[in-house]
Amino acid sequence: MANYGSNSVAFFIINGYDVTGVSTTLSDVTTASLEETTGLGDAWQEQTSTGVRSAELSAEGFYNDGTSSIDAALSGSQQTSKVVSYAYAGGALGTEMTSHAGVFAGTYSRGATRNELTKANGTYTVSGTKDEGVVLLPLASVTATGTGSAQNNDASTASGGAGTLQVTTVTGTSPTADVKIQDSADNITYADLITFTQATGRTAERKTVSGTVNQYLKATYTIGGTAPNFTAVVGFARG
Amino acid sequence: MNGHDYVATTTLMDSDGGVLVEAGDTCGDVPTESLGWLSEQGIIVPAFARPVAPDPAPVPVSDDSVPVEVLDDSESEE
Repeated sequence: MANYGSNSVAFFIINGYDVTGVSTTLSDVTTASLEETTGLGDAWQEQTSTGVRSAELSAEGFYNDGTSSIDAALSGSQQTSKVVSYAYAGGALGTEMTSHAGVFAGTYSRGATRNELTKANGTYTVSGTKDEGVVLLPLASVTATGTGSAQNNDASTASGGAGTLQVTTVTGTSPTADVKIQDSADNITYADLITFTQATGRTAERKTVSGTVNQYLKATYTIGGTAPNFTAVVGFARG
Repeated sequence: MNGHDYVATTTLMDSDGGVLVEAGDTCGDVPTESLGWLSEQGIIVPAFARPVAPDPAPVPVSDDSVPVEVLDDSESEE
């Protein structure tokens, strides 16, 4: 276990928009819903879990109107469900990566103050789950077909999971990227586990699987087009 | 186990990303040590399933304890 600083935040990506560099704070909160069950005669208050959890996400940063930045990601799309991914722990293979699907930017506020840079803040309402997984393909540029390194979970799991793909920048002529997550029980032979929709531009996608997820995972990508260049990150959270 | 006896239901790759077999192909190039878990998880399936024999027809059971009524036409009155 280790401590991490703000320089370890490898990425904060909203639907393919990498807003890491214009963000100054990032906070995610998971809350368990409780109901008070204190009855007559009880001397102390009692709480019982309802079994429901919820996630909230908020971020602050600088207003930036670049085509790949915070304003493009959030302005005018508060009612559109988004896939958000971030990494607090450096973003290397096997380190923590958290993703949410069903994220609505409930509020997006911009504010100017004398003698300060204009700020842009977002508060996000999450509908659904929070996937706490690991990085399978660190955020990087890929220009040719390849495969990531294996991530060893030390054991298989039986409850499926969710894979997330975030593609932040794409250049080239008719570029295509077919990204998959594969698993293996022996790190010798790998089978397809998740196949993402072919990426041809900025995109974000979360896909789920059920059943057994074997001990080893890795990401593969088949790149097409002329002079293609994709910047992407892939993660997987076991169920 | 012999990989040639199995067909892959999905593309199988080695750890370096090289394709071993495509979906629908026999698994002759799949390392033998992987065949066990691939078969257990249904990722590869037997190439030639043995034909299933039809169930034998039911044999009628006679029960002598039940009296059989014999019709006697000679006693019938016209």
